[in-house]
Amino acid sequence: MLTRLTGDRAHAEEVAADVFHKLSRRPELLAAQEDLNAWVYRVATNAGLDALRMNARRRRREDAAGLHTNTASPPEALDAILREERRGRVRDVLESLKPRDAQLLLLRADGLAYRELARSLGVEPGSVGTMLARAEAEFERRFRARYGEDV
Amino acid sequence: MTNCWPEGVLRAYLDRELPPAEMRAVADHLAGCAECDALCAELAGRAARVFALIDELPAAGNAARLRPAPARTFSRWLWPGVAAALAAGLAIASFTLRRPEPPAPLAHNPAPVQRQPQAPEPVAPVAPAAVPAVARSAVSRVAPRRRPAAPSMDYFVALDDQPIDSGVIMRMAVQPGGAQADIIVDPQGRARAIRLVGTRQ
Repeated sequence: MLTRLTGDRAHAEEVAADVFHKLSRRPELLAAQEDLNAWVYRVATNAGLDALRMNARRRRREDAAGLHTNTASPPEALDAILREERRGRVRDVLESLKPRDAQLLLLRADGLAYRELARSLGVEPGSVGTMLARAEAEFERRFRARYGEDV
Repeated sequence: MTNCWPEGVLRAYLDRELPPAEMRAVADHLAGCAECDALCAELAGRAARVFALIDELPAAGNAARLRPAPARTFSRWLWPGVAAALAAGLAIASFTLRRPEPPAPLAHNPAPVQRQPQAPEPVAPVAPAAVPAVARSAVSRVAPRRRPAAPSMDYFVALDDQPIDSGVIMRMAVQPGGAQADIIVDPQGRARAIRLVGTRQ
């Protein structure tokens, strides 16, 4: 999940290591497995979104400096550019959402059930459907506002 | 529209996350309410579009979920290591217990009363039956010390989704006097999995 969010496996591993370092300072979480999983998911998605914001700022600086080049052959290069552009748009929209909405979408995309989502985000299981519907609507609205109707 | 279900319930219905009775009730309602049916279709379409976009983000192989890591992931190095350690332990134990007593004075004292007790000692450890007996007793003395007294969770949580071919398990204290964790560190020095120790009652 962190790799999807950051787009960089090494960076995702660094973020995961930070999360487990934080976990080492929360011994009370070690007593209950379900609380532990929920805490790890919540903190990991938060850390991943933070990393995403930092990546976006760095990317903008590097784009401004013209540091990005593509060395693939022309057809592959075009596909790669388009694919990376779409991924960048998705990350940009996720980054712009409220953290809880982005967390909800990411964790749901990662396959968590409503009960696990509720535990991870500290909400009632009965409110997950409402929150999910609103987060999806907000994601789509922002995506269309930024990039047109091409959702 | 007075008995219509809220949007959140319809969204949960689409994900089959409602109790069975409520699933049936919503399905019955949708069959007779065009407005809710249209809203449900709109929610389903939006969810499909949004998650199709999010799914474009590349995952590193299969999605890494917090789950018990399969034991076979590190058995390739674990069992040869255990066998080597056991063999080394047996060798050390047999070598230590085979060391003869300091030799008694030889020809200067030919009296038979001193020679008789010394004669069997160098021979006894060499007998084939003696080595396993010594090894068993040495292992049984060592084993309780190697096993931690506190119960541990018997699985590791993978920190990524790649198989762990080899690595070293390092135990770290989480808090002085508190819980501990085992961490599998691979040959590149990266933490690959964690196991909490002493957390289960």
